[in-house]
Amino acid sequence: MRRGAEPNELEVLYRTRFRAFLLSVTALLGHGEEALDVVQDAFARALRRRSRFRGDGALEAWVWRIVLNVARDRLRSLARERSSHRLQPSTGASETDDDLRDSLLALPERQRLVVFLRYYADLSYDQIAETVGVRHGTVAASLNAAHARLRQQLEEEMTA
Amino acid sequence: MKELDSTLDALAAGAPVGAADWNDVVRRARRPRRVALTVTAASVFAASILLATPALGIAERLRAVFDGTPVQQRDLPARDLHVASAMVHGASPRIPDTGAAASGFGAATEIRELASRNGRNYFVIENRHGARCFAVGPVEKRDYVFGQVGCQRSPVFPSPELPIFDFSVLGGFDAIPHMRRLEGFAADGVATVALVLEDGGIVAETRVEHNVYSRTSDLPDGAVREIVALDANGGRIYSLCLVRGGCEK
Repeated sequence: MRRGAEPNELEVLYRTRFRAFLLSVTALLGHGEEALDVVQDAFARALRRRSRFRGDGALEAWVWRIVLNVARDRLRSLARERSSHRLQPSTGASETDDDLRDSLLALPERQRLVVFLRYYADLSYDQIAETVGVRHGTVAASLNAAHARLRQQLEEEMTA
Repeated sequence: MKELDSTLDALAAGAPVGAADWNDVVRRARRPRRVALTVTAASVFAASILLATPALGIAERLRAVFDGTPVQQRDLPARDLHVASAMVHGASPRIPDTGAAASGFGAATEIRELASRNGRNYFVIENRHGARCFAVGPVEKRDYVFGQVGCQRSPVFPSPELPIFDFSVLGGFDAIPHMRRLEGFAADGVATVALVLEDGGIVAETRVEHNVYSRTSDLPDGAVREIVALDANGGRIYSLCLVRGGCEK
């Protein structure tokens, strides 16, 4: 089994998948500048720790795990802010969109993560399973549950 | 679920997708091994220590009138105006975004640009009762103007108790962080703002101009213990400790 990743492999991954990483983290954090900083830091960490990549899974999944860990750290630090408030980007979203967004953000973390990885990164169920550290079936169940929950939210809004 | 797709698109709308920079990744990787963390220094590690505002009249000078170029509200994205107006009126920025005008806050809010430096714009936001907030955002055109808004009311900024209001970005998950970007607002009596390293050395001395300090280059790679505000004679007026658990040993 191979050990370690080459710097150029990480660079290729960065150049080809930067957008997917950035969009997912922006959705998680609600702020593009912070998300950019997270993605840059996460790849820097991956570069430093590339010798730890065991090669028993996809390099992209390994990097995704690093990116998500850095994003979680950042979320925790943002949550601790006292007097300052980080803005979400202006979206021009309608009120219904705002409600749906709140519902999305209120999903359990794993469901939300699975939705984001599926939508923004276009990862397969297997890739999501490897990234999040769950079984294939759990990914499908999480996506179904998330969709059901959001569909219910939409229906409630329509009938309200 | 088209609504879901459009909502997901909106959630990531602020992503700077054109900002990919592998060289920046490499530079960050060469820094000391630390996990990334961004905080405002005024928040997480804010164990601030007022060192001295002695009988030299300095205390009186640690206030400020923030002159700047008025920003027309029509030039601001609605969401920015809503959040800034709500915050300066002490309301939650998370109240429904019905628009600052509808809430009545907009008309009572004045926003001025104090300075533009190192690719960043610095703003003061005031309401007619004198309450103030401050904001920082990128000069580069994005769909938002304010990247961060902060209001400091206890102790109030500017005052002898709080002569700087720091918006710096720190990195490092260790007990002592390192500095990514040094920036913030300073009272009139503050001539420079600098960083104190672990060994006590003072570096990255940055001049205050138009009540703003800003430095994005020549920052130390290593750990930073404090941000200090200095008067025109180099005397230390104030210290903001960045060390988790405090700077006193």
